Formats: sequence, C-alpha cells, structure tokens
Amino acid sequence: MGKNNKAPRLPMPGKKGAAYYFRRDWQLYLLVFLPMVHLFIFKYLAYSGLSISFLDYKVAKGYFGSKFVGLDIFKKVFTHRNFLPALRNTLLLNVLDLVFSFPMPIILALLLNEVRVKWFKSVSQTMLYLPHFLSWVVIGAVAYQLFGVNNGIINSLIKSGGGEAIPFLQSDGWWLFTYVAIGVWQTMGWGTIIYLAAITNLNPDLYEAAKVDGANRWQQTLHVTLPGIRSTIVVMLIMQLGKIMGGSFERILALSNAAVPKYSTTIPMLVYDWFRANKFSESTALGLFQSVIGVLLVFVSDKFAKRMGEDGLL
Amino acid sequence: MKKALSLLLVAIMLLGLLAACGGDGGSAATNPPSNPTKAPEGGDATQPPAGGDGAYPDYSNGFPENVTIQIPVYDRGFEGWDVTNNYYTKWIQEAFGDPLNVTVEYVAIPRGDEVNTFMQYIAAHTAPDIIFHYDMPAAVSYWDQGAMQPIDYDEVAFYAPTYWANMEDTIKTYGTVGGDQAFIFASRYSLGTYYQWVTLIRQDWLDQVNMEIPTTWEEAMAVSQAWKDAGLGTWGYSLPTSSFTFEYGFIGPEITDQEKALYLDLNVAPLTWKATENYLRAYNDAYNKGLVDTEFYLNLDDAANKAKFVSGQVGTYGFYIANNTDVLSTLTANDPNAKVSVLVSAAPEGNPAYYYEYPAYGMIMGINADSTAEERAAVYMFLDWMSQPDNLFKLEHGVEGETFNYDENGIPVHFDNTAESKLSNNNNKDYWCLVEEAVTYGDDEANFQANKSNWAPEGYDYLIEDSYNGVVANLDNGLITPIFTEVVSSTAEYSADLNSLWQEACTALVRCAPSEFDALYADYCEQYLDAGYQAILDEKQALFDAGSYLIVD
Repeated sequence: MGKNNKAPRLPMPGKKGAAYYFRRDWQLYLLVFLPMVHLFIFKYLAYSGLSISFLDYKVAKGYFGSKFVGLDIFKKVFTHRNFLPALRNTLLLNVLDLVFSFPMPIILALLLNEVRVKWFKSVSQTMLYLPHFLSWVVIGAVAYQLFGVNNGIINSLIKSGGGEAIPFLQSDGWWLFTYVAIGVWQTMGWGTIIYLAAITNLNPDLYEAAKVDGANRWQQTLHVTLPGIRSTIVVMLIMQLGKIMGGSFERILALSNAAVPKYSTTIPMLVYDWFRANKFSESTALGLFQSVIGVLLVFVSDKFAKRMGEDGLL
Repeated sequence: MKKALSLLLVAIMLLGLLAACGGDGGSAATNPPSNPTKAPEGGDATQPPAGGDGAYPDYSNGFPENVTIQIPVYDRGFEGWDVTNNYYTKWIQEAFGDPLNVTVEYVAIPRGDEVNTFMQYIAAHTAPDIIFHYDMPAAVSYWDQGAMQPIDYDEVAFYAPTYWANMEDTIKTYGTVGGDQAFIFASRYSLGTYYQWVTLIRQDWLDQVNMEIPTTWEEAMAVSQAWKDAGLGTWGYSLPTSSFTFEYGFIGPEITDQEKALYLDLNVAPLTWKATENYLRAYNDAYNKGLVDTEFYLNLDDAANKAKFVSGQVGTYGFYIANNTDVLSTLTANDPNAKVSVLVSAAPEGNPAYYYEYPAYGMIMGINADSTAEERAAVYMFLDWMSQPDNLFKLEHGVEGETFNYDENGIPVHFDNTAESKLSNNNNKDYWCLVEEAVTYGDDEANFQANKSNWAPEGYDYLIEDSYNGVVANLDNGLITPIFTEVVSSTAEYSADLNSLWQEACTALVRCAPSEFDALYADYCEQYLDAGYQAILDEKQALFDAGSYLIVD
C-alpha cells in the first residue's frame, strides 16, 4: 500500500544537505570515486607540467631549478619558420577531413538503414568497422605496399596496362589526396554506429504518418530521418571541431616521407620533432597553444549550435 | 552552482601545481648535487683514510656499508638475453661486487630510444651512476642539462689507477666542456671499426656484364648503367638522415682547417658546402638516368636497405659484418647464383676517398650529478676492475671450451654454443664498452687474423680480407673532425630543424630535373641558412678565430 502513497514523491519543502544525499546514495558515490581519482591525477595534476612552457626547462634541474622566462618560449615558437606552415597544414588537413570524412558516416548510416536483408546489413557493417581497429603503423605499411611507385601493387597494375605510375604517396598533391582518402576509408564505418543508434530511436509513427502523406523512401529519409538525427550530427560536429587543431599524429607519421614535406609539416609533428630534440619547453608551449585553440573552437561551435536551436554540449 | 564548480576546478589545479612543486622542491633540498671535493664527506668520517696521501678514503678492502652502483647497459632486444640478469652480470657481482661490499645493478637502456630513456631517468632523479652516449654532441647535451657532475681527475687516478693509466691522455684531451672536466672515456681501436664496415657488391652481376669492381664514382655509374641495360637492379642508395659523412668522397683534394671546423659535423649536414653541392649534383644526375634506387628517401633504416639488397633490387649494401649476419644466407636463399665482393670506395675520379676518422675515444661517460662520493668511488673501482686484462678477457670471450677455443696462434675463436656462459649476440660488447670499443689481441696483424675468424660467416673470410686491405691502403685519407672546447650552443638549438630540412632538401634536389637544380639548390641553401645554419657557422667561425678548437693527429 505504501508504494502507492504519492506523498513522499512530492518535492520536499526546504533543501536537504549534501550529507543527506551522500548517506542515501553512498554506493553510487563510492562507484564514481575511483574514476574521479583517475581523472584528477591524469587530467588535472598533469596540468602542472604545462608550467615548463614558461621555463627554460632543463631536465635535471626540474621545475624549480629551471629559469622562468615568461613568454619568451611562446615568442620563439610563434616566430619559428615552421610554425605558420604547420598551422596552415593542420587546419588544411583537418578541414579536408571535416569536409570528406564527416558526412561519410551519415550517408553510410542512411544507406545501411535502408538495407532490408539482415545478413547483408550485418556483414557490410562489420566490414566497414574493421579498418578502425587497424593501427596507423600497419595501415601506413600496407599503403606503401599498395600505392608505392616502384613496387606498389596498384602502380604495377597501371604499368602493366601501359600507363604511367602515379605517385600516390610520393608527390605533394597526390599525397594530400591519398591521405584524405585513406582517412575516409578508415573512419567511415566506425562513425556509422552512433548515427544508426540514433536512427533506431526514431519513432516509427513518424514514418507511417509520412507514408500516409504520400512520401516516398527518399522523401522519408530527407524529411524524417535526417531531421531526427540532426542533434546527434550537431554534437558530433562540435566534437570534431574541437579536434581541428589537433589532428592525427600517427596517421601523418605513418604516411609521410621526405618527398612530401609541403603538407605533412603539422603542429603534432612539430611537437613530436621538438620533443625528440629535447626541446621540452617549446614542445609544451606549442601543445598548449594547440589545446587552447581547440577549447575555444568547442565553445564557439557550441554557441553556434545553440543559436541554431540545438542543445549543444555544454 | 557553476561558480562553485569552476572554483573547485581552479582549486584542484592549484593543488596539483603545489603537489608537483612540493615533490621537486623536497628532493632538491635533500639531495643537492654533490660536488667532488678532495676532503672526504661526512659519511666517510668513520673510515679513516688508509695509505696513500690520505686525500681520499681507501676502500680497497671493501666499503664499510654496502654501496649500490647502477650501470647502464644497452638493450638491443636480443632474443633470450636478459641484459640485467645473466651469467656475466652475476659473475660481475661475485667477482667485483661481493668482495668490496658493492651491489652492481644494471639498468637496461633501449638502444633505439636511449636519449628519451636517459632523459626520463634524469628528470625523475633515478638515472644510473654513469650516463653515457657514443656521440659527443649528445653527451654535451646531457652535461648542458645539468645531469652530470664535474670529474675530479685525482679521484679517478686514485680509485682506478689502471684505467687512468690507459685513458689519461684521452680524458685530458677530450674530456672538458667549456673548461669543466666533464667526461671520462673508453678507448677505441678504430682500425677494426673501419674494416668491419663492409660494402657488398653483387659479383655475379659484375660478371654478367663483364665489368670489374668499380673504384671511382664514374666507374660505379658505368656499372650501374650496364646493370640497368642488362635488366638487373640499380646501385643502392638511401637518404642520409644522421651521422653525416655522405659528402666525404666529394670534398676534393683540398680542405682547409677552417672548412673542417665549420662543415665537418656528424649532426648537421653541410648543405651549403661545395662538397655537398657536388654530391647532390652527382646523385641528381644518377637519379635522372635511373642509376640509383629511385625510392631512396623511403630507405630510412638498415632493414629497408637490407631487404632491397637480398631481394635483388639493388646491387650494393653496406653494413657492420658479424659472423651471425643473415644477409648472405638470405641473399643466396633468394638467388642461389648470388656472389658478393667488397666495394672499397667510389669517390669521384681525382678525389681522395676521405673517410670519417674516429677520435681516440669510444664510449663517452659522465658521472650522474646525484651520485655520492661512495658511489663515485665504487664506479671508478668498477672501471678499474674491468680494465684488468683477465677480467676484460672473460667478458669479451667467455669461458674456454664453452664459448671459445684457442686456435694454433693462440687466438680465442668463438663458436656457436648453448652454454650457460654464452655471450650476448654482439659478444657482450654492451658490458665491456665502458673500457674499450673493440676487442684487441695485440698488434694490428694479430687483430686482423682474429677478426677474420670471428667476424666472417663460414666461407666468407675473403670479405674481411678485402675490406682490411682496402682500408689499410686508404689509411692516410682519414679526416678528423675538429673538436670545439666550448659548447656550440646553436647546434643543439637548430640541429633537429636542420635535419628535417636537410632530408627535404636532399630528396628534392636529387629528384629534380637537372635544369631546375641550380635554382632549387640556391633556394634551399637560403632556407637552410635562415633556419639556423648561419647561426651555427657564425658561432663556429668565432670559436675558430678564437682558437677554441682542437685538431688531434
């Protein structure tokens, strides 16, 4: 009988203290405790390391022994001859990725959604996911085996057909094309998961209503499915924009070579090069710059999404 | 609520900062970098100085309290070999450590990632007592980071008399940085290093086109053209990415001390130098005629070069030969008719075949800034113990009957074995490299005879012989890189940037059409100078003018 008594569910007059909630849900707080500690140590304590971008950091002297130099390191980084090309390339590669890689999972999800043969759908889904699980080192090695000028399989076929070898990975312009194409291939399958899940959640009544109104398959996709997953697309877009200053370091490292410097000098590659040259302060400063821009972009795109009437992320 | 949350985050960050700083501050306060002083430190007071002039406590009968020394050892990933715990590390502990109350702990340093590994140890103040590197600029950079303490020569001489007697001249010649006594060394018998480097050339291909082993660049390219016409492979070539000596053959007969001081540098490619221009023109010409591997810029490691040679894509390949090498067996497995000879040199006609002449030292070692006086003493005593011929012999050759047998000339010849005392794949070099860089057996002739038996795979003695003869005939053409007695700080600052620009420039200049070469070369030279090379040249020129350099004969 007590269960049907609605009185306790009414909002209590006055607020309960934190202790009350803690006593009531202590198991939940305990559960979240360890992840919080992990987050604290690895995401917040690590911030203290950023201080070396303001120091002339010498490893053996540590944070305290190294000389404080204010913004000198940043000045040095921003005037470095590779800084502007790296900034340009980072933006270029990521914008290209955004243009080509971002819509692909949406298109694929819409297509997969239309497939009616169950086994065909699951087989193609699995095949599409697979590249996501390959490391870039492996993809890089395979790419050279496939696209190399002298020994690549594709070029061997082209040459045996009487054509000219195409330097897919060995001249600047083609490299850009191959880089983006491999990126699309690697990411498109995995990206469909979230969109397919969103599509599954759509109310079937909407489709029935559309059918009654005489909408065909294409019109249903355009006017029911797409608007239905719009908020998912916007959230994914915001998250992608946050990464626009980052970019895939392993992907560039695995695919680039000395013949294609024009587009492969990027911010993550510079951070890596400087780190290997023991220029820890410069590396950190550049990494910090990259993260700050990334955060700003997230805020800007979030504002933008809210203006468009979406919920946004923050 | 939001305000509270952000306040909390700020507090957390501040706490983090404090925690990190607190940790460092603490260790800095309790662990000041010890300076070598002649007076024994506090802890030694219990041990009255015995014998000698009493300046240093005598530990020859053992340390009163156990001292742990940490010795770095390269881990090259040899299968089935535990670098820090094996027959020899145990033997070192028993023979050296136990009698003196010293614990010898080996610290594995991955060979391919040594600087990062050392840097992490140094940052955490857990670096081994010896910090080492084979190249001077890297060693100087450790010193510059503050990771090492100054060396007191009298102290070394006191604790390690044999080692000091062997190495005194070398240490006094090369061991100072900007006036500070920074390094001690292992010795290097460099002749062996020279002829252990063997460049193979496909003799069966030469036979097929009826040509002799080339001795100049022009002959080499004629051979490559003949190979190409006969449908065989090309001349092997790979992009120089480190240890820059690629230009040596293209220097020409005249080189001044000033040019040596400015341009010879293992860490910075001298792009703007005439020799490099000659080199690039020669390879540009060869590339455009299809005479060298056209994908040279993808050959970035030994594995890539080796793969192209054993699969018959290229006809030349250079490497340090060892009797367990798989190059020859793989090559003949792929092509049963394959035969190889030694290519001695291929400098252009009229140019001396200059080669990089090693300075007299091998491993460059510094003492960790955190090491105590006792640890220092124990390290020096360890070096002295290893310098004793009997101990060194056992480390280098193992146990008679188990790892080696004497031949008729009394030379220890190693054989394949599975004994407990089996040596590591490079004959324990990573242990005895602290005192010498190559095994020696007496004079040059004795060394040669022994190396022939110990380096050549079965049936390939002639490779070592030909290589040795070629090196000996060319011995006068060694170029010694002048050593600056001050830190050339611009090198550390710019070498990484210049290296990547060099790789870009070399690739572009070799691959461009001959008609574009001049303009492109001028353009890259300008970029290279802007990117820091001008600063390096200026700094070196100033040091050269001030006489702050050393050319040792």
